[in-house]
Amino acid sequence: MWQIFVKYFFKHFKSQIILICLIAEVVIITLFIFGVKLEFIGENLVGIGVFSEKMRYDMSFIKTFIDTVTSILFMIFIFLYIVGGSEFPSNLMNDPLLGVILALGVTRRKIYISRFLGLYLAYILNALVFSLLIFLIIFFKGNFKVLNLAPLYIFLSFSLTFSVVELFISLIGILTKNSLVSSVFGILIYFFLLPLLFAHKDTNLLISIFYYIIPSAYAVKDEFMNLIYGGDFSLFDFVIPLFGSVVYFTIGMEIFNRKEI
Amino acid sequence: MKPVIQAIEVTKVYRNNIKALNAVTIEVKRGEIFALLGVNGAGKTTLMKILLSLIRPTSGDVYIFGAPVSEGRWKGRIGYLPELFRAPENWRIVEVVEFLGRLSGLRGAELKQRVKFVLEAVDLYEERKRIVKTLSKGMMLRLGLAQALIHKPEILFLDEPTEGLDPVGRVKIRRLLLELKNEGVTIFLNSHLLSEVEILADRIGILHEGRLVISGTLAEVMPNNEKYRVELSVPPEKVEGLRTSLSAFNLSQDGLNFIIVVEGINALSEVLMIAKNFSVEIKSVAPLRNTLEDVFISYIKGAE
Repeated sequence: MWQIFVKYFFKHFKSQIILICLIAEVVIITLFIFGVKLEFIGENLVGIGVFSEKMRYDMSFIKTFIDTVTSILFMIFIFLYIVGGSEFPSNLMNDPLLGVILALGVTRRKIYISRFLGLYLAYILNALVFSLLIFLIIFFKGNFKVLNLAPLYIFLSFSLTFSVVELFISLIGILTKNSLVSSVFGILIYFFLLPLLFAHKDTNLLISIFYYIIPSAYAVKDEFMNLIYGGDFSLFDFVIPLFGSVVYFTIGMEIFNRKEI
Repeated sequence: MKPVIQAIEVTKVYRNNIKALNAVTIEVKRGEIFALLGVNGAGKTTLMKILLSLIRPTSGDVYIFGAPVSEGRWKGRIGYLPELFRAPENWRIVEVVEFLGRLSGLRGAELKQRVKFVLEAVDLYEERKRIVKTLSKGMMLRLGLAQALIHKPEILFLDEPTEGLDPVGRVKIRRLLLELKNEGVTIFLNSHLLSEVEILADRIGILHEGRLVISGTLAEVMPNNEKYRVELSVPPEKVEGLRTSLSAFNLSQDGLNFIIVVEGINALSEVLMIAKNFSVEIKSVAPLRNTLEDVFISYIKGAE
């Protein structure tokens, strides 16, 4: 199992999507180290200066800015996850070595778990390193007094969102046996259906149920944004996607377990 | 001796209602080379996949090493070369074999030693750093065979192991398979290269439209039809007389050479006696055996 995990972890880790993410992260970190000045009163961030003192922003502007940027990034990431997730089942089923590996006695469940973890951890590892670096930079810029957990919240949000989207789309891919269909289906759900449901979830019971059956990446993102700004923590919004991930993972694995190769 | 591979009344019906296998029963003993013959679509690959637990039979039982296949007693003891073997395109030859070696539990020096051994056995050791996507069809097949052998399997399942190989490559693979058989490895192979099978197999089975038409040793499947070919060299003055004496037989003439095909030992004796009486030279007497191809075609036609 470990061998399969390692092999596929590095396969995904070397993929173009991760490479693009790494380049973007290096640019952001460089900018953050050399171009951003953080102003603190005590442990509270009160202002940010970009490149020069002339471009100083107050916190209300920063909040709007972070909200907008995070939403755009979430959209982009969800799109990437849908594409990645839709390819997972077809990559799994069409693996040229699948029959040979099964003939060696490795169980389908082990293959499914190790390959998913290989994909999942390859995606989130660089996000973890990125978040830790941002956390440390803030720590250093705050004269070793500021322990701002926001980057780590964003990382948690990222990893949870990734698992939810990836597993849901993978499940559709396994059921439809077509990565294109599952991609289109995923885009329709996440970009059109879920925003509609999100707006009406408290007005209709049926919509409410449907909303919670399909784990909402948006809800996860909003929850963590809320945490970043020091709001209340709703365990329910956190647990539902986690529960969804486990359910979709189990269903996907059992379907794969029964597939004829 | 208990068979190491046993399929009893195995039937497979796919969802589209196509019956790929119809109550197939086979047994393969330890150390045997068993070849399953059949035209494309006969059900050979389906049966092999059922024996390997890759697909489930609709009905029937499969035993490997004497235990139901579901018990998994075969784990780590069988090697499999699928039809048209492929490997991830960007991997190196050595990477593929090492990866599968590790999965089968080999580590460290033992793994390195086995990788070297199997790659040398299939003539790929010098090419071990080559990327898979640059391999020819023949090299890919040899890589497939190397990976199937990495963990010293007791049973080898080979789906068309010499398909696409040049004659030299085919001879090498054949030698390797015979060496493995001598070491006690049981080999179950699917093929439609009848000449290969005739040389390699101890026992064969012919599968047609999902049914096992016949199964047995080559001698059982290819019974001697007791036909003989006699060739005589006849002097010009004896041609007419001998032709008259042999008129009851299937005779063809090539100049001063008479070729007679007779059926049965009595007819052969009679022809040889006539030749002796005429004092003509007997150039050759040879039994006429059916080729496996003849047998295969006759069974297939019979089944239809």
